[in-house]
Amino acid sequence: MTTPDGARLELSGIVKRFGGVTALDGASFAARAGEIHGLCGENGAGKSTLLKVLAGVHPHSSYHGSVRLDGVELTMRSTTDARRAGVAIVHQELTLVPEMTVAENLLLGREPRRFGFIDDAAVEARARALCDRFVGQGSIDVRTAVGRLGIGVQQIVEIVRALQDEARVLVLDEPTAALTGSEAARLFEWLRRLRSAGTTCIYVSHRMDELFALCDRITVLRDGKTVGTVETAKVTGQDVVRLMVGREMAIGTHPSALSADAAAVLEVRSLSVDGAIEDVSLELHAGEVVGLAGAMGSGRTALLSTLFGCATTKVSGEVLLGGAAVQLSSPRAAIAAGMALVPEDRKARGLVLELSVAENLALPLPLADADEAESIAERRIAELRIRGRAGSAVATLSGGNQQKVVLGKWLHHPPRVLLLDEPTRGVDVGAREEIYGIITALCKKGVAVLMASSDLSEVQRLSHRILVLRRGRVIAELPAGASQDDIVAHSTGLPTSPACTP
Amino acid sequence: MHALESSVEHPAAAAAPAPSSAPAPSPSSARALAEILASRSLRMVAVLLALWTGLALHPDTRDAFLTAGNFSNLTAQISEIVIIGVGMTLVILIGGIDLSVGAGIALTGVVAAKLQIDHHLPAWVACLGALGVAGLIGLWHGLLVTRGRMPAFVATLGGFLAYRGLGLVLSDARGLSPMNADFQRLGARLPAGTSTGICLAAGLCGLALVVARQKRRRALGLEVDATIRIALTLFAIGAVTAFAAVIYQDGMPVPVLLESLAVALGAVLLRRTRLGRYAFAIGGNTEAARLSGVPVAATTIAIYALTGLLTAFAGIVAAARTNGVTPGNAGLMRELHVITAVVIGGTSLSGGRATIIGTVVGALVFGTLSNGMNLMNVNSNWQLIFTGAILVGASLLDSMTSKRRA
Repeated sequence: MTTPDGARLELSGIVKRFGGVTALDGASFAARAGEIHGLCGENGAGKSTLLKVLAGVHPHSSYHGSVRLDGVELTMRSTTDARRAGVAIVHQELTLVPEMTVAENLLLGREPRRFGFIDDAAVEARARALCDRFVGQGSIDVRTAVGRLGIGVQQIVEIVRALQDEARVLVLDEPTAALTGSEAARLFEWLRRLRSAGTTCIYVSHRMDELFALCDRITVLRDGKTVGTVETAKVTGQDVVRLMVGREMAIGTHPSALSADAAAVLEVRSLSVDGAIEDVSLELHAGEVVGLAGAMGSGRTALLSTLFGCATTKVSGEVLLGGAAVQLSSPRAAIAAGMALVPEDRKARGLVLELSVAENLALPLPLADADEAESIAERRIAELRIRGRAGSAVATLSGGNQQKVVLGKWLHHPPRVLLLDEPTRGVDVGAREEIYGIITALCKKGVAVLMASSDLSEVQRLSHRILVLRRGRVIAELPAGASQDDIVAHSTGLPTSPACTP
Repeated sequence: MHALESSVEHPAAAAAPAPSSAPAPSPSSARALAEILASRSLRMVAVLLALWTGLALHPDTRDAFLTAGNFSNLTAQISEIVIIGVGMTLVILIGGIDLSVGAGIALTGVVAAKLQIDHHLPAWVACLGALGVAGLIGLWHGLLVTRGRMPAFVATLGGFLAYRGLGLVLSDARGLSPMNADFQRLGARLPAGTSTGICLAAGLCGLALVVARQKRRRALGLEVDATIRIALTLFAIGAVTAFAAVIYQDGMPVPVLLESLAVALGAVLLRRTRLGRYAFAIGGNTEAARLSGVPVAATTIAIYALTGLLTAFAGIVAAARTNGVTPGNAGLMRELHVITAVVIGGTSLSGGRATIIGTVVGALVFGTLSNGMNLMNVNSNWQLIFTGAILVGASLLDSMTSKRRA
């Protein structure tokens, strides 16, 4: 089956150019049968391009170098070719069709036919068998439209679809980006099981803890080149980060102490939103970061949206800013009251991708003329170290720099309360540190920050206090030093020690 | 979500083979009924029936409206809209649009008329000529949208302007008539006996499909549909069959037969072929479709080409019914009528959601408004206002009910 050196999948000397831009410049790595092989690198290092080569999205003729599976050279011209060859890809963005059912999605492109027509009953029966086999008996109603399922379940449907071909190589691109801690833990358990069955798994992630928990070896990419493949057991996270960024990173740990008499800036009393949050009360002080932890759908995003005036259903309760009650009827009202929101999905809700960096930065400002907008933009670009010109389309920036633009929108008139929803999702290590720096600096100026994040190390790192949400309620308030185990235990409803429950 | 969490807790299930499951009992009738009542198409059927009731009771129309002859006319009048509507439903489903179909009716009518009148060719050659021209036009639109990466609106807006112009040039801007005898038959009626036979045969086909579906599901160990769903489906099939047999008692117009065939073809294509399934996938999430190995470009081209062919059918039917073509007027505003019918029928202009039956109901609503207003001698301007109100009302209902998903 395998070549003498034990490599199942071998990519060597891959060079891929888009016009004048070299995305891959001789990237290579080899993964063994029955191995979970990590792949990491900063945004723009070439991971996505490398995956697209593997997936057959970039046809064989469009790049240089070779891809070998069990010693046989693959010359894939399409995604179908890759699938037939035994390479299954689970993309970072879900590739399901929300309007179609689970069954239709699972068998998309391979519908069983009878007398030349799609056999719907067979589609359903096969989908049900797949879910029974991979997820558990009767676990998913395959007749439900995918759009009605939670993101965690959608991710599982996505992986089941990839697995159905008895893939020899399973490629996962940031599979936990939208999963809760417990969902991720189950996924890992499942991947280890696949590994013992001989499947090779390529695991792409930004998260060091995941890479170290799961992978046998890790290959690091930088600027389109492979900088090294390391045995996980023999190195530390620091070593890998150093390979990724090519320099030492100072990793701070805890937020600085608050002055004891900091005034309450935001008070929320018994806030409820139909179908989303129930009876939430909290208090936020000047210069304080309060972390919101909890599973997907626990109400983190709903709480932030409601505070920013975006609730779509009935709201009750009271919100006070600086002691005065405010009506949060629209984002416009929220902004006027001194709030700012950095939303979860920056491309859909944070930025107008077609507009320039300067135009995006000027969006919340009242009618700044073009020259004024540009001078403000220049200041922001220097201050936040945004790597991009004022005039360039914001879509051309990397994720981290786009996120800095979203933050920068609110800095001309610094808000009293900054609402952050997943502030560093899809942001590389270097830019992440810079964003943390910006948040910390704002706090020092007295801005109060309410931050929702599914990255627990981020919550630990920045928060003075941590509120854990479950099913729309605040079920625990933890101090700055709380462990990840503690947070997870509360958010899943399985407290480790009775003393922790409120 | 919670249901799933509990099940994923047992990864051991992954290794175990799926035990053979006995057919589960059918879901509760109450739930099935709720699902049926929430159906978008059914709501428009209710609107349609309300319109019909109103026209049947109104003193100005009660004598003329509820007659076999009037319904036979009504269904023939909307044949162009329904035939093209089948293609337009697919086009809109994949997030596209085709503004050229009205002009296409004029052009294909002129081509068919020229071939038989000026060149004395038989009717079938004239039809093939029209179909060939329109097929190529559809292919061209598909290529512009895929290979040319052009927005469908612009690509077909070009056709909207050009094809009527081409029709006027070919005909020297003159009306062409009369058509030859064979061709005129496409606008005539079938014998009464044949009509009744067709209605009954269609009803039996529907019945057979319902039975076959239940048998197939049982064979594969799946639960059969809820009794109430089966009962209502059979009732609907019976009611439509009986209604058709009555209104076509004096013979079914051939345009109605052609429109019914187009509907059957469209429904099968949409629900029972890969082309249809791919269209749903492309409309719902193009990138996901592409990454799932769906041939996006080929599917898109095929759908525009099909719409071209159906436009030719509509052009032929229009020319046969009126026994001639006036290229300046034929199919004027038809593209907007078709889009109106499709949207009233519940197909989403943002792609991903469509039913053929909805389009048929949408066309019937459209046709009923124009038929009823004509019977009332209402100024046709009011017709525009009413149609506009129903279109906006139906869309508003959609956006209100789908708000939760946003």
